[in-house]
Amino acid sequence: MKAALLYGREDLRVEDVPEPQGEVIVEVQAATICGTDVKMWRHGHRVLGPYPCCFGHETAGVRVDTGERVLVSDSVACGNCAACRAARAQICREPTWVLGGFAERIGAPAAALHAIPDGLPAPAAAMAEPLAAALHAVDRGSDAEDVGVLGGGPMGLMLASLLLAGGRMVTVADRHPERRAQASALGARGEPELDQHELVFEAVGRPETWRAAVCAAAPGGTVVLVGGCPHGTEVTLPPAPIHYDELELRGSFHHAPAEVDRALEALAAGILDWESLLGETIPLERLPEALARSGDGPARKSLVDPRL
Amino acid sequence: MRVARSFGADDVRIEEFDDPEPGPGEVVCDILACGVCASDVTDWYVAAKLPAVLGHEPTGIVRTVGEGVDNVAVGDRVAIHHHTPCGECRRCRRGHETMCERFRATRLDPGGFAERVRLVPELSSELLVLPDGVDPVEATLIEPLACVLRAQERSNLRAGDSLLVVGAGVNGLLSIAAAHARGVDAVWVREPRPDRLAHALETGAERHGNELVDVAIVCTPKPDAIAAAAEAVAPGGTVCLYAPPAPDAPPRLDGAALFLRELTLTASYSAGPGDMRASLELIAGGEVDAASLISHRLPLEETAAALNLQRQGEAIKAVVIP
Repeated sequence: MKAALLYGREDLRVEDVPEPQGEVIVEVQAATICGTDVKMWRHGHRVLGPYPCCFGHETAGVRVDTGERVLVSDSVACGNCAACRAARAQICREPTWVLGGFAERIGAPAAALHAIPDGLPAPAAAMAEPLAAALHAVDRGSDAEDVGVLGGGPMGLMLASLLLAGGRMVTVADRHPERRAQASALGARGEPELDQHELVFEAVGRPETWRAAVCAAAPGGTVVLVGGCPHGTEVTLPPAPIHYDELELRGSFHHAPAEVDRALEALAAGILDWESLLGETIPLERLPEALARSGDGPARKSLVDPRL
Repeated sequence: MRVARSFGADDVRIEEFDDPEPGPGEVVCDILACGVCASDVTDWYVAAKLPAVLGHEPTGIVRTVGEGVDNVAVGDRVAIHHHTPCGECRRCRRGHETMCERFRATRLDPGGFAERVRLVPELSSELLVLPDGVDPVEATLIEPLACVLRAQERSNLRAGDSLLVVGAGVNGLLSIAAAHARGVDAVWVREPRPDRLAHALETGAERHGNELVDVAIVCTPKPDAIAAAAEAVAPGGTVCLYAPPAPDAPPRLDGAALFLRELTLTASYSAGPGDMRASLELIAGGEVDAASLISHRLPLEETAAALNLQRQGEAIKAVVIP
């Protein structure tokens, strides 16, 4: 079968490879591109296997054995570590990562599969993976009504959509006017920078935006850090607001299996205008150029359809 | 009356002020004792307030009451809080009463290092009468213990959890005692000074090695100690910055770890009225051994020396007794 393999930094090749192994084989219909895929392609990543390795972790398709439509979640928690026992599967210490959506077929443990609600198209179902992380981040936040989201990329706009659906007042800050316009179209305020908010989500993942998010928190406020900084990044935080304004900073990583099901239900219920976040649909061969191009302009997720 | 007024870190003068008189709803107390807080000797923090009569951990005896005061009577021995929230605003309702606009606007007149203090009605109404048998010098620890209790609440520290206390000065020692009272399962301590470490071990903490903990309370502003504490927190755990970081030494954290391990970084400022009441109960009930923490007792004339003992780390807790 055809698959996209990483051979090293910015070295991606689409090749014929042996059929995948796994408990269940899924025929891929939609694999959306995430910012983490770009990081994996540019810099490598700790969860990747040894080169050459497959990647792609927002994957929807059809089970070869039963014909059931499924979302392939990107991880299965071990169920035994302290985090799993504390019902925090998202920070499991020994997860099995399930990567390889940028291929015609992917092998996965049955525990990674989530049934796609009837009528929900495969591209929308693939977006349940990042949407589950957004749901998790919203739950890590407080119930404050006035919310700022720093970063108007797909994650920022997903957060805004969920918060708006929950009746909150949302401001999305982004330096790109196209992304501010997308935020406005959702019903949020689009601004170049955040003012002060009781709850702030950071959805960029850079030390300077972490600091900006802390500075945008009102006294007694909560900052949820959804954008992870690269490994080895040291973040220097502004001292005065943290102490004298009693801020709380909460990391938010990944999602638990129940949140993936909730995300699929939310998509089926129309809570996310997923079509507005969908970029062009491309064959596997065009994945390298799509990875190189991402980052600027409107927030849209390119979709790989390996059947093309 | 005599007061000890600070003009600089090394310039504390004994001055004569007019005796305060209570207005309607106000109370004037003779100060029995006032503890020296680390913030009184955090020179970058204090500089903006000077000249001032410092000291905000006082106990006293009610000397005169203004018209309409009915919660205390002349002769009552009381613990005094120096800030009080309105209890009604949005921040108060959301549990951030120390962020209330009124909180920092209320203050002692003139301060705790004085023979007498005037309390505005908002502070008078929050006076806590000391039960018989509670020593007024030991009761100066009610305010710092209340701050510790607030930090433990903000850190969501629960019975059965494990706690790392970084720094075994008076706040660290109070944290250890309060954690035991709360039923915390394991209390670990990090402290470079052997004498302080020994004191912490005597109070039932264990020396920290490489154990992962649910909560770390960092009672030092040192960036390296904060970063090391964050490394000791288990996935999903909480780091509480108890000591305010200095403007020129901001905290530095591993940006990947905070995210990947879903840590919560929290801070706690001062204490609310509920924290003060809970603190009084712990001290009155003997659950926190206040006597062992009061290392130095000095008269008002030696306020400068008391401040220096605290600044140089010689005192666990120095108390000024006018």
